[in-house]
Amino acid sequence: MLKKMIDGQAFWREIAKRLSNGESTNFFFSQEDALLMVQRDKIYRLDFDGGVYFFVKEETFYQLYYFLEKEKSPEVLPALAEPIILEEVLLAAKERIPSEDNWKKAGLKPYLERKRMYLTTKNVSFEERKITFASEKMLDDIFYLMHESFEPFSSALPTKESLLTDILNQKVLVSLQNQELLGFLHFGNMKQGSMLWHIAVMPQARGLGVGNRLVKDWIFAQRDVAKKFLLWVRTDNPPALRMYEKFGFLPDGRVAPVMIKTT
Amino acid sequence: METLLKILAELRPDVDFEENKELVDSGELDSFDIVSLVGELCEAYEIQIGAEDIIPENFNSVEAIMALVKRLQED
Repeated sequence: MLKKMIDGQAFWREIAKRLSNGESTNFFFSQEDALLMVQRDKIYRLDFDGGVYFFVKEETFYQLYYFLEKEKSPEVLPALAEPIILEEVLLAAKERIPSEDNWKKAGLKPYLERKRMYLTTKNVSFEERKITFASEKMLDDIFYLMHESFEPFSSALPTKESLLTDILNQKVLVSLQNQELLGFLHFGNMKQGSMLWHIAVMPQARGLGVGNRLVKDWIFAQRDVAKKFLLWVRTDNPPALRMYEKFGFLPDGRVAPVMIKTT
Repeated sequence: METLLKILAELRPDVDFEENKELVDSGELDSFDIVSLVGELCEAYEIQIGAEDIIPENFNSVEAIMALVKRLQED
């Protein structure tokens, strides 16, 4: 039986207690974010022996967060009207607890995996280049290409409004041919560096080096403000992995497997 | 201190922990690192870190983390 969360402060106190008890979790939010989650009025809980599930209702799926006491196994997940997505961030070098098998027994199956890579700015040589930021009139084309190119559950796709804000703030670079969109690169600035959020190339323009040029544009555009360049890449995408390795990106040891329970 | 440096090096091999005194404020440690670190510290030092102690000031430097551990061990 799912119960709606209503008290943000009690939620945060519970989280801190569970973290302090050394419970396994995929909940890595700050106090501020945790309070916002409850305020959004879309978080539910399911308690079981040895742990708890928190379900956050997104538009077309439920995002699953868990806390699990040591030596305990995840409970079988309930049947919900939308798919359940479990996204974890793990250290590649450490044993995965709960294991993938434990999660399979709970009803999930592997969906995809990403790994994080970084490039330190001091290790990059810059060549002068002309870059093009997206303009407001490209919003629909970029939004469409984004939704055509990325899987819908764990790609953190922005809303159209938030994409427009990023376009106006020069966070979206484009590659054009005769004013037609060939591809785009969407990035953001975090404290630790510049993060590549999304990059996509039109199907007819793939294999022509458009993605490579966009990555060069991004590094050039951010050379003076970012001390580090970061990105998450799918581990089942060898061409992308090869491209980033050629730029000098290195894995930083974090992997993010995603599992799914379909309806 | 040696145990702490080992935990930190395993968590983030790309960070210079001895030099950086603004680990959280500069963004080097994010919430994933802090949550992972809380779990590791509790286990390694047999302490309990409460909600009130999960704040940036306690994780900004190796010295601050060590001070937190010592205070909680004495409590």
